[in-house]
Amino acid sequence: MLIIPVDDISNAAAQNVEKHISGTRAIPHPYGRLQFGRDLELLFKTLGGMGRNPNVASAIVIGIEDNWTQRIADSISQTGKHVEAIGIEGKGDLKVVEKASRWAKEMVQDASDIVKKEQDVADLVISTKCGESDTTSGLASNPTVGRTFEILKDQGATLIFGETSEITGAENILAERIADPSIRDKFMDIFNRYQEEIRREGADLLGSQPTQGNIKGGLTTIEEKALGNIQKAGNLPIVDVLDYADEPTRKGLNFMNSSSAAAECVTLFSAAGAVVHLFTTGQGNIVGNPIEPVVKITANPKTALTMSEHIDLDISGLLRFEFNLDEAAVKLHELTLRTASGRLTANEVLGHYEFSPTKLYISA
Amino acid sequence: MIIMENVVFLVHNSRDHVGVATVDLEKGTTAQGKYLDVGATLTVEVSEGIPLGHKLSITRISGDQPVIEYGQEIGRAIHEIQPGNHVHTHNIKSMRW
Repeated sequence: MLIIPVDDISNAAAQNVEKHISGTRAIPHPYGRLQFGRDLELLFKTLGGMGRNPNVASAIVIGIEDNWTQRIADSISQTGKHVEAIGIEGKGDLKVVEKASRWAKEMVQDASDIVKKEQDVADLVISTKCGESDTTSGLASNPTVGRTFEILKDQGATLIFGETSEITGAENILAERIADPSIRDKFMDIFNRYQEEIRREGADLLGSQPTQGNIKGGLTTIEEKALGNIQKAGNLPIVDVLDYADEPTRKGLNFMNSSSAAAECVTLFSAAGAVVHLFTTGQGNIVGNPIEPVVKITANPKTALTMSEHIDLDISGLLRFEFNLDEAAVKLHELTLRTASGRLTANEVLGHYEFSPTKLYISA
Repeated sequence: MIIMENVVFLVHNSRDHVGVATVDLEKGTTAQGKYLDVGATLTVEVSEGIPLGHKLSITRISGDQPVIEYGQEIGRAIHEIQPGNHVHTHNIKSMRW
């Protein structure tokens, strides 16, 4: 049961409802006022998408004023879910918190009545990205996700990867995997637009992309990082190219325009309806998400040891030839389906619920 | 001379100039590696300490030449690199940014 604040000044009310009612989760964020154009549309798509995600049973939208609040609620109610909306202006926090808490109580009880049913893997949307990568990511954990994605694709699942800046140096390899010329043009246009943005800033990205952690882990250049990154796509063709937080409509592998920053990227995927995220890490990224469980995979034996509470699957044995890539993929595939069936991931148990909407430009 | 019997570095592609250490490699050892594409093994004398996950050169790379990993260009050598050298930000640079 999700409590969605439309704007920064509605975070307090949303978080107070979360405190009153067990089984709810609020997703506070710093935006939502004086946004306009593409940037505002993306915020609506992100907030609405969180409520639309199949992992959410029902939602309450709380905003300072009624109009934008109702707009997000309407997007969620298209899915047939129970959604309520309330504006704070003219009422104040206390009345809103009381009313929303009473709704939330009923919604949580209704959600607890839902009985689990057998679902087809073909109905799943699964996303991937890597974080604090090192060379063990490109050698082992990313190829394991790639092989797992190949299995899931054969089972009819919808798959999403992205990280627009992090394909730099491997963009042509990916472009060749897009059969439809208009989709390939869209892909190259998204890639080139971001490269142009980097050039315009005139900054040296070394230390940001690759990150300091990447460099410490042995990654030297963006090209090397990108070639490791795309291992997560396996040998799959790319069936569609999505813009930020677009819900995929085609089964198979989709590329989404997205930041490579962990919380921002996973937020976009969760807003697009992904229900399980496969997250590979080398040096130990600890990100989570409020509604999409994040399965952490590492092949770095030091990280598996020193940060074990964050790691769901240690496949460092691949580097020691204790098992092969197919066997590692079977382990990850099994864990993916158990997670989709409700097994809690490390991030959920540790309380990592990062929600970071992408901001395209400064508000008015 | 100390010879490490196990495979301690991996090479993605038989065209590559570099391998990736899967354990911390010590200066002065002879390290055994394996090509992931063809499965053949190779040995390199390690000329400086190389931490797990970092790259070692498996061939001589001339200054200003592209450096190959995954069978692809990952950057350009800033100066000449000898086999067994640590390959990182001090001796190669991105060709993109």
